[in-house]
Amino acid sequence: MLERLKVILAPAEDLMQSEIIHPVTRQKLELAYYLPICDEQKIHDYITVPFSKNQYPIMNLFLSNANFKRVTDPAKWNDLLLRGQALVEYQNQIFSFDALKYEYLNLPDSNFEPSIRGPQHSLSEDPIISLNIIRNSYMSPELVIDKMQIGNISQTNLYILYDQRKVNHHTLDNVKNKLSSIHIDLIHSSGELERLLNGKKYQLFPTLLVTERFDRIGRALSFGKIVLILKGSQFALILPVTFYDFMHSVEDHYESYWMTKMIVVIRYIALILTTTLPGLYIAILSYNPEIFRLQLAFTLVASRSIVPYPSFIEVIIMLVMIEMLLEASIRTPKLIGSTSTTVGGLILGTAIQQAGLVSSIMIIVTSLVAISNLVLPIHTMSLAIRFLKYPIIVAAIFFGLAGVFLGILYYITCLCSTRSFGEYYFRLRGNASSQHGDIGGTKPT
Amino acid sequence: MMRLSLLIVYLSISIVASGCGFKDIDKRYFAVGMGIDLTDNEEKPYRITLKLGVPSIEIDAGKSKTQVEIIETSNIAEGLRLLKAQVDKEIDFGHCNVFILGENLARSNIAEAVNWMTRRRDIQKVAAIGIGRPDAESVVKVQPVIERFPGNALGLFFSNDATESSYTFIELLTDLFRRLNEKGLDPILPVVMVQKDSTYIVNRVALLDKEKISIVLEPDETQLLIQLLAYLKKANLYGGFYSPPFAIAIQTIRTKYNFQQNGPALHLNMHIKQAITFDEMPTDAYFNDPKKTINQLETAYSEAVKQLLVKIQEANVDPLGFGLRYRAKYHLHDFEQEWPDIYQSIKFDVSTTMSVHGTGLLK
Repeated sequence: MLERLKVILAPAEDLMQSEIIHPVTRQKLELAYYLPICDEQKIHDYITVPFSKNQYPIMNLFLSNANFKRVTDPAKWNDLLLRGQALVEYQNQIFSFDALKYEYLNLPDSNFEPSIRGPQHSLSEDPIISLNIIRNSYMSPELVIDKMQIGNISQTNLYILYDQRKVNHHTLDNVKNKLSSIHIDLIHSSGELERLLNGKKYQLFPTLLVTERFDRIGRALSFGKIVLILKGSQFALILPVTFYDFMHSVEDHYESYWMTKMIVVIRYIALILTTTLPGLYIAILSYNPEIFRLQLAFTLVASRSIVPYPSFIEVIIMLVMIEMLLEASIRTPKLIGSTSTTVGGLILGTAIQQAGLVSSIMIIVTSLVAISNLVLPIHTMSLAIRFLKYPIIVAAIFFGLAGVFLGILYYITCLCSTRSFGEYYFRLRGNASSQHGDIGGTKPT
Repeated sequence: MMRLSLLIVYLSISIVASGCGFKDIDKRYFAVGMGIDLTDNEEKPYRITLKLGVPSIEIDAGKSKTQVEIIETSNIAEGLRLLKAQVDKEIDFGHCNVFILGENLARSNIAEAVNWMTRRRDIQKVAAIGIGRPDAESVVKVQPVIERFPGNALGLFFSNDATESSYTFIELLTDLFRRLNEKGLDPILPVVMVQKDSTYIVNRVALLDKEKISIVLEPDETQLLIQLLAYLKKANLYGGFYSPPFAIAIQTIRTKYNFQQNGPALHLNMHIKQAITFDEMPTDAYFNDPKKTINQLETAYSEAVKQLLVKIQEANVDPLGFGLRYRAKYHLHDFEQEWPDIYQSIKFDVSTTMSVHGTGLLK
């Protein structure tokens, strides 16, 4: 049976295949099951222990216990294994034994990427529990789980998950090479791994996606992506990714069609607003005031006339303030967190405007920038985007509107030249293969 | 790393300086109207009237405050430079969407003024141009009582945001420039007049022989001409036509014409297709004999159009671009020499088809 299983099944690290030979009777028993989804204790109690004690003819147990069922059709093996059954071969007869384990009770709540209607749990720090849930939700024989160790001292287990039929093997080799070339003593979190894998030091955009959600992992696997799960970390890494993956929230598949589509559009608007708005404020106020209606121009003049400094000083004051606020609210305990935002946002904002340090329009701009940044669903991307507005501000100070658009152009160029593990990062259609003569095409190897 | 930190230091120092076009919005004066007149003084032929908006938070009827600066100068660009010495902030034309040329200037030559406008960087090419009667200064100086913020009232006349009168022709700088330079197409400019010192009236157009006024049309002729131009596809309503006892509202209009050489005479066949509704009509007149009523109206409209075309032809201007169409179809060795004679010899044949979209009544 085991020989045949090797042919049918993907070479998974978590598929337990053992051959037990009784030391006295010399009888042979073959056993196969997927480790994460089976209760090992149960298998022990019902199969291995009775077999080795040999007090009672084991064949009788198999035939009499209702938990064992005879399997005659080898085509069903696959299915049974994936459903948490252990397969036993004894005296050329094959039995299945139900040992399914579903560990959804041991999962922590999802805090980082909450969803209203989706699963409420996040990955566990125990990778076996995580793999249990993933195996249970992605019941495909093509799912491969590889295992390797990272860290010279810590020897931390790292599981590499992929759908062997859908994955791009070139990318897979690339990732495996990169992983094996990592030399580090200790590794504690997948964030560390993310940095090590990211490659370029001065990269503007994240090229792998950090998630704690099972539904996202399942979807990623079905799109042929590779998932890395590190022991002791609540977050999995998904790669390769495109820019659009970062704009997508799992909720988009659960809620009403039109509203979710609109929310996606709103996310892109928020993305544009949060990167360009402070730059545009400077450019419009100080270089090209003719863009707006005259009415707004006069309101702007009136609200700015109390401010003694040029527009960019105003912008820098407010942005530094809001960055400090955001940073402070992450670090403070949850109980005080709301107080600091209230104090900072409401009181300081009103006071700073009444004191004539910044104009009232600037308050609107600042809060819009902060809010639209939080609209982005993935934290790593929203952090990366948070930085993007500063170079644009500098460009706007010197070149006005032209500078803002130059900055946007630069970012788009950056996005186009970024590759996530050899695959296009900013490509609209995901599955297009590279053609001869493509501009910026990946090198075929 | 060293280089990066140096770069950061340089950048943070240079941030204190800024670009040279950098001028905060509160350090600018927004011109909201400009008038150019011709004076009798030969050394300083231009009188520039500049209306600067005074910003205030309150935007309400009658709260609009402006400041008017007048200067006489030898040329327009020089005049503005002199004017800068009279005000404390940078003058910005970015929001100036109405430029008024004085009638005496328009009667002599508008080319230089238009040239200056198209060249200047901060004047928008979608600014509207009009002719001020009796002069630009008196038009620009007017402070309408109900104006909400500086320069708004005149600007709204020349945009489709607010009032859409079938008598008001809107001429933008781009189009004026084209009409000035294109052979076989002559400029049209709306005439702005001041009523009771506080409101404007814009219901006439002046037809220019490239650079100077050749004829000023009456309001009803103006309306008819605007209907014929019809490239102003701003809305479906193209105004009306009055032929007692009927008043019709034209919903859509489409004008087609072509040239036809009949022996020695060149004919211009114009066909106008309209969809109309009735604004006013004697009860039952239409319902008793619709065909006859429509026929009468069609004939009346054709006749009015023909009269207008002949009047324009006699003034020897070509606002409808007949010359341009002729150039596209026939070859002339020297257009500027030959076209005037051809134009004068054209016979107009106008026909109209009206289709009634609704009578305005339920019966």
